[in-house]
Amino acid sequence: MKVNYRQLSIMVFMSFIALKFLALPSLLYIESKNMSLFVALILMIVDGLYVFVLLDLMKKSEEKNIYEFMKSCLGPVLTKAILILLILKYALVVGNISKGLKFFVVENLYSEYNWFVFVLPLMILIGFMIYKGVRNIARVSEMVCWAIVIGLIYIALKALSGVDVLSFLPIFKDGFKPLVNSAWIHISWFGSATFMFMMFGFVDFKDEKKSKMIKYIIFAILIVQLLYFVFYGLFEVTCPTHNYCISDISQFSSTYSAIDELSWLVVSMWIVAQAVQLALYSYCIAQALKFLFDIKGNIVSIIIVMLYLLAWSFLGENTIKMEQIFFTPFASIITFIAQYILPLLLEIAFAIKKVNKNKKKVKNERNEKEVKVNI
Amino acid sequence: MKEMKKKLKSIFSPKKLVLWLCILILIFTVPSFNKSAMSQTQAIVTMLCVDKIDDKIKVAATVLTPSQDKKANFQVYSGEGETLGYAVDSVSLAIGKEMGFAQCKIMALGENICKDGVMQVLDYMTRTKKVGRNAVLVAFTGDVLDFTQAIVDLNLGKSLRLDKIVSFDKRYILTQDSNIETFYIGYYSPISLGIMSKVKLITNETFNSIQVGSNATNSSGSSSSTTSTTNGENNEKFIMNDGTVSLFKDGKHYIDMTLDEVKKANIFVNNAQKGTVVVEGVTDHIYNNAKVVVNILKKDISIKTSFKDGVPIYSTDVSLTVYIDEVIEENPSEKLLRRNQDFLTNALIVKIEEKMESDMREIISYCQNNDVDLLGVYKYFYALENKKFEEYLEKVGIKNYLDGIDYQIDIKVKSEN
Repeated sequence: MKVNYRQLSIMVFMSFIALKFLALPSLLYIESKNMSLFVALILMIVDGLYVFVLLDLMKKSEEKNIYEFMKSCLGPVLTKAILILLILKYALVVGNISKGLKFFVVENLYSEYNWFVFVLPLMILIGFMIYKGVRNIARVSEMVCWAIVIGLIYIALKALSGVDVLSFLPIFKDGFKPLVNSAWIHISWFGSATFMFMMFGFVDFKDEKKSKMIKYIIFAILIVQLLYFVFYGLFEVTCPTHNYCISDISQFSSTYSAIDELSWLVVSMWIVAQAVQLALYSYCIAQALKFLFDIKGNIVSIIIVMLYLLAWSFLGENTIKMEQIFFTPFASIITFIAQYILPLLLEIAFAIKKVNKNKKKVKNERNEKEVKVNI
Repeated sequence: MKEMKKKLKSIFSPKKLVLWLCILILIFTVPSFNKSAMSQTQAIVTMLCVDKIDDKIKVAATVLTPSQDKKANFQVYSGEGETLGYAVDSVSLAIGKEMGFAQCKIMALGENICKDGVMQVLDYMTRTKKVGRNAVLVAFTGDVLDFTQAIVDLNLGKSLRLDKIVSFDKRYILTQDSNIETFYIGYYSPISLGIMSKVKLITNETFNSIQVGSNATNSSGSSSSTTSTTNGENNEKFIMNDGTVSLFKDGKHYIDMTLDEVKKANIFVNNAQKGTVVVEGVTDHIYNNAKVVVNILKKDISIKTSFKDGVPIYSTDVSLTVYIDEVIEENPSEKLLRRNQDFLTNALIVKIEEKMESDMREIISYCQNNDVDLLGVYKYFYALENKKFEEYLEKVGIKNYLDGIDYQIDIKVKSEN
């Protein structure tokens, strides 16, 4: 079951905005202060460029899945090592989304909420979505996408009047070093195109329009920039104390109620978007596990993913602090390699393979000619 | 293995997943029928008033008790302790319920706690007790319990409520939110200036002595509550909002601004669109030594910063669109009754501009004398002239930077027509 180009564009769009509206803006502010907007902007543009590198690779793969494609270019050993790396990257994203969702639901939305009540139906839902395949995830993304977009714009515009533009000035006061530092530390929140590795062989390029993908990427960047502009302009120096960007903006713009009624709807829709992303990256883990261990069928890999989710939900909080993994050089290196090195490596490997193939072809033709001459 | 896979497939088949979901819903919902209502274990606090009396923290909370007749039932409870935590716990102990602050929309801080510093209170309430940062923040005078009781009476009266009063302040007087978040932003800014509305608790004797709206230039817009009787005595307590605004430096109460001063400061603020200017002694072909009240319809402010010979220049261009509200004259000329005539004469415009400039100069002096940056001078220079301003700050120091600035004012008045 393949997804069409439009659905892929929407999935890219959702992936670009999904992780950006909880703790990330406040974390960025710690290092890069009022220049955090630029950190997000630069990394998202780079992510956008890599979408096209991956699309190019997808076309070159000639309908092969990522495992077959990498195996043909890099050989089986390196392919398996890369699959492990990708699983780690996806596991980080899944861990981050589930952690973000957990704290958002338990601490921000409800008081004394039993996480168990939330996580079990969510796990069943995600298991079902993985079971149904990527097209199902793409369709759900299509369904919720515009509701989320309208909601986010509504929240941003509602609070826009409270923004103090002066708080963004002066720009680049401390040079570019804080920007680079911040980008490196929080790079694991980006790399939004990595899910596309598992889409190799699952995309129908019949109705391909590059402009469509460009539009969705630009739109995602603009929405994130708008929300961040409002967030940094509203909270200024107190930004690092706001861990729930989306709800804090809506809370601040409605003075006399916790969150007004419409914002509740938006926040709820946004939780749906997070669940879809959770399903997408869980699907990616399941797929990568299938390739890695040559598992046939979906059930075993789904069970492994479910167990991982369960582990994050119940053990993660007490035994391993998410921050200890997610904000370490370990996470940054994994994301950097998976998102920014791997596609280039594959491009180079494919080019070398092509050159070798051509050389072989020329050599064969020459041999044939020599044989003919000899005859 | 194959059989196991088949079994798993059949367990997770879409049809059976729905069944699983139903079972899960039953598992989670049925046990909750047995639980007591949250309102029986948690008190819904809607407002918390805090003050310090003789080294002890005293708190009073309004607790909402849901009732069947749909009428909000507020009760006031108070407690005290060596720390805020102990004081809050003592209230919990008294009512036998945990204090739930998720719905706490108002935090009122008494005079003594304001003098000692409010940051610890705000930190405890927002971090530990999870009071929303959009909770209205007001300073108050008077006894904690009496103040809280008077607020409850206001709420029962429906027509007047503290949050509405502060909301009015936001639109017309303070021109910014008076809540925990804005206070934090002010506190953590380089000039550490926090602002909040101040409401007063007065007795009926004091209330009767106040002249409400005695004249247009110096009106003290006061609002009163329904009466409240405490201790069975005829000692009525009123809430009065006279537009006073409290300024805090480093989290401690520093100075109070009167309504008149706030209005003058608002001339510099673009958010404060409404306003009144009163000029006296206008004489020309229409007016004869008239006192004219002019209402501001629209205000455009442009603030520019520059440096000349190392001196920072803060120039404010104000463009006002006005209409004439009242003309007070002993023997009004019949010209005043003529239609199709522009009553905004040149003489009047000059008078308005003079008055506005003198008001603005007054507030600049107020800021310099009291070392409070109400006009956002620091922010403008830091943002727009960063390097030069930092050099200037190094020379004069952060405490005296307001004094060495050249304030230039340009006012243009035009008629609504």
